Amino acid sequence: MQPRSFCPTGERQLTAYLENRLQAGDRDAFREHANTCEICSAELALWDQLESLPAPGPSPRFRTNFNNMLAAERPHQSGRPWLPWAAAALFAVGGFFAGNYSASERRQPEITELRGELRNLRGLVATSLLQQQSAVQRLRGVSYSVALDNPDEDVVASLVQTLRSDSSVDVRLAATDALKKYSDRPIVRQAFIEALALQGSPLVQIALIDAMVDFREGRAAGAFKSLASDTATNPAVKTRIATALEELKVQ
Amino acid sequence: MARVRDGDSSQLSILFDRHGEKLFRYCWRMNQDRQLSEDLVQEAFCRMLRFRSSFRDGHSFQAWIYSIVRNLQMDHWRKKRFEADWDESYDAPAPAATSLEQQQQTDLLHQALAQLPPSKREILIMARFENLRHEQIAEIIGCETVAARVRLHRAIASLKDIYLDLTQRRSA
Repeated sequence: MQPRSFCPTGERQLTAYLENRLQAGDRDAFREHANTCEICSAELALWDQLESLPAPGPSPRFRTNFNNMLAAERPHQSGRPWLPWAAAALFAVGGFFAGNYSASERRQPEITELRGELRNLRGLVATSLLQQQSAVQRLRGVSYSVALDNPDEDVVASLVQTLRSDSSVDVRLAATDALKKYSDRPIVRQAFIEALALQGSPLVQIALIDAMVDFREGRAAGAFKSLASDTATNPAVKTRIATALEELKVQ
Repeated sequence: MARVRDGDSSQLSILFDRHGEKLFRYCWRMNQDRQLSEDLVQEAFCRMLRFRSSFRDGHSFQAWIYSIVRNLQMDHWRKKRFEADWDESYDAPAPAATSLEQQQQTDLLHQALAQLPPSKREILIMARFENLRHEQIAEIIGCETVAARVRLHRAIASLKDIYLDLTQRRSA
């Protein structure tokens, strides 16, 4: 759409003039034209005026967020971009062979081995998803890890790391639920006790307290008391800690 | 960027130091939303890392990174139907101008820029504030250099019309 006030000379030469692309003679001629043309002189004045238009700088979080993004992306980059494809291919091949082999008991060891490989691969997929930038993908990673039967230490360690430091409360809550399944592992119980002090969200704090009461984890009492004595702790969390300490005593 | 593409992701920090704030200001001038602008720049660097293999030697890095930011901005507008919300989200910064008259002029200029259609606003911001050459602008927005010059001039002319309208309304 053409502006209401329009100068054809300006359209031909004004931007070239602004970018110092005109020959000396043309430049002088345009300047002379602009002195007598209201439209071009107004446009040039506006161009100069724009220079002083302020813009704010970014917040102090700008750099920190970038560093976090870079840290999160590095394992993703150096990791296994082929993993989902490899997993899909292996599942397909595995399914085919598993179907054929199931008819023959003589091939049972091979089936067991294949199942082991599939389990490992599922573990790798879960670990990879937990390191994604998107919270939705990380939630998928948590769900994926829950579906695993007896996952290896790497998967549990990734879940623990997610519980400790994921930026999303939803993902940390999901990781808490997922880890409850592995409460028989000492690393998980210890992680719950340590994670309590790291959480800022009352929701996650209460979920962790509930879990530790369920585990009958007497060693958590100290962490509960520390959290309760902190003036910044949410009153609902303090109330839950009071009942949790009673429950632990009874148990 | 070539080193990032070849696997040295630590070099991205250097690129962020060089271009991060500049890209932030470009985004801010486009949408005047600080948080959104920070998110867009962060996402742009994330994409640079993920799609680093698409960067080719000999091409302008600036044009490449502005193309990424521009696409993100357009995606955002498509999702949020930005133009409909523009007036509500408009939030000019505290002006550095000293006198009341200068402050009013700055406010009007911000408003005029905000009322400019995004396709014109982006080309004007690239040329005026980002100091991009017309060839680079043409590469970013996907047109011939001559067309970029014409579009730039029409953006300046439209801004002038809006600005004069606003000035007249204020003095009436």
